[in-house]
Amino acid sequence: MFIAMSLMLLGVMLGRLLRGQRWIGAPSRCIAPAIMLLLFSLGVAVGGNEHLMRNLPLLGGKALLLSLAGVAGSLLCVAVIRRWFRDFPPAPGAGKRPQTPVEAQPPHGGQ
Amino acid sequence: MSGSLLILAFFGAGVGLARLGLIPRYFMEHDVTLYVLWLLMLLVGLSIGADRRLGEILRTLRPRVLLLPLATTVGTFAGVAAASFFLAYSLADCLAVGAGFAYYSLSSIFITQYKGAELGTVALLSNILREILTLVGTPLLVRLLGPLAPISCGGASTMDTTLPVIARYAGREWIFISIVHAMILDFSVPFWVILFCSL
Repeated sequence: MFIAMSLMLLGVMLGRLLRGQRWIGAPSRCIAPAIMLLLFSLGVAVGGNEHLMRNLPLLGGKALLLSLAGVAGSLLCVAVIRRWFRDFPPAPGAGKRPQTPVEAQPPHGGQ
Repeated sequence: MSGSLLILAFFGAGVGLARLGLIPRYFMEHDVTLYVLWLLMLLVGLSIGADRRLGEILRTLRPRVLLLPLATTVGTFAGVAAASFFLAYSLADCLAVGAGFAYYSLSSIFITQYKGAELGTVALLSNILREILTLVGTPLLVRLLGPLAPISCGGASTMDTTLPVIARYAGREWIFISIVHAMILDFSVPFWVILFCSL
């Protein structure tokens, strides 16, 4: 079960060592096709499974409940930590003026 | 957004072709996904290790910045734990789905491998929905709760797919914290998902 995790850490170390090689950007460009292939095969597994196909709307409902719950929890925690970011200019030099979360007004600079 | 549509299209194509019986038996009987997953993990690691921004961002990191990914993690886990009371899935299953933090591709593949296609499908849909909620809800979230809200809502997607909309509505000065937030969550997704799947 930890093979995948070890492979990622191996990748990080290899990437660090090989940084600056001209071809090092190539693996990153293979990520998107690999993800497409994996999701295609996930689709095949779902489509070939009668039980799953009958329950797809129900699964979608459960998925929506889980995402809304996760977002709601995150926003509650943000409300708690927000006080520590009141005087926070996150990017040095990028923020022209310190902006408090309460004052923030979207959008900046019109279109 | 076009990225998530493409992902959904490939997923849908797989479902459709399997329904029509057009998938060769070999592909149905031999599980190649595990090996492609291993390859993918190596590629993700390589791209993180080779990224020059990583070192720069780690050097300029202030401890306070870490509060935001921490809040996203704690809040998401608390939220999905509460939701697990209303669902037939176990607490660990719900936590595994939540631990995708909108990083739908990797988390749904892991969960399919370790927990089966049903929970994997829920994870895919749930995490895509989280990204869509962020893309659609960012203007409102900024107005109601401030610029930290859409970043937390976007989870691990705030350094690529949802970064443009966050920069537009929260302001460009939040780009840095948005990227750091996503990098930390991105890195933690496989760890949390594997942990909750093995419980």
